[in-house]
Amino acid sequence: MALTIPNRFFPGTLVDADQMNANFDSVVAYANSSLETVATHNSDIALLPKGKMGYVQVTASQGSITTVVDLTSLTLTFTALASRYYRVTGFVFAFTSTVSTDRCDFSITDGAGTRVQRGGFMCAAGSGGVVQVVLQPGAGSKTYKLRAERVGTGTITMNSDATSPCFILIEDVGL
Amino acid sequence: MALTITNKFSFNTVTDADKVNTDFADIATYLNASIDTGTTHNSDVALLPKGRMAYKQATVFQGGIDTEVDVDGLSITFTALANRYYRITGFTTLVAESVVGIRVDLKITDGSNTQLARVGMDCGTAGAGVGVEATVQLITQPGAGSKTYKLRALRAGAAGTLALNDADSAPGFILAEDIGL
Repeated sequence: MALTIPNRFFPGTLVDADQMNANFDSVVAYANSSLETVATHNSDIALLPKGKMGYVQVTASQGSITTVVDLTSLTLTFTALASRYYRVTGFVFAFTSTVSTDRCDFSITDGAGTRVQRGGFMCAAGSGGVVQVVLQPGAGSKTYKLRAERVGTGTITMNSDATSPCFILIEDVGL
Repeated sequence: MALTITNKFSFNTVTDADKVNTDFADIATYLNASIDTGTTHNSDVALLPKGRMAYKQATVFQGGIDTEVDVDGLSITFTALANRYYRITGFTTLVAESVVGIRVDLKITDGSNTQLARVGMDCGTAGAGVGVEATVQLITQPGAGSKTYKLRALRAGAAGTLALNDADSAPGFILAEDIGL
């Protein structure tokens, strides 16, 4: 809606009070309808995904994995908002093992080590990829981290280098 | 905040200029506050993720891979903005054509074939139908300007050949998303 002024005034002519009032009333009506639009925008914006909340990556390999371990530096803490959903993504280039029949379980856990997602990768020729989980954790400070666990008898390595980064990413995906 | 006007004018009464000025001041105060709110909205919206920047998919079988090659058709170019983060995702299905023990390294590279990320995936049993899938992701803050990313595949592990088993019902793809600041 565009603002239009109903009356124009001319030099040497008496101004009619009703016309003056009508002009001001038009401005008031227009401005107040715009204010309602602004309020709608506020609530619409609040519904949208907010995107990246945290991201860290590593470019160094981590070996000697024979039990469940944290993947070094792949931990994130952020402030979650009530009712909103968050996607946590972990990515590793490849897990390899000294024993070809081993599997590596690649997990996302909370800060206390409680698992919230897991993916298994066969180590024979080396495998990696994505694990991800969508959570609604409630308001407050939240920590998520990546862990790896050998399933088998060998020694597992999480492989990474400068052009094969491994990472954890947290995104706000909306309400 | 709602706009209200202080003074009304009456028929056949000499209008006090100060009252007219006050009414215009009411309007100016209101509009200036509203414009400030609009500016805040603009910056709030600018913080949000913009989503898909570019996407291409492949539905054609690509076999005989025994060295590093471009994945046919999976190259994208978009204009990146300063300071923003982008997620590049590559996905394909794979099958070992000849021997057991083949691994694919599915790579994200820039337009000059410089590797930026890769994922390894054991292709499993040779000739085993659909085989396996590989997903590679890169989170990057590349700076402003035109950026090209593409998928490349390298046969690793055992000697032999592998195939990208993309089809109409199993498309491979590359996707670039703006994920915010």
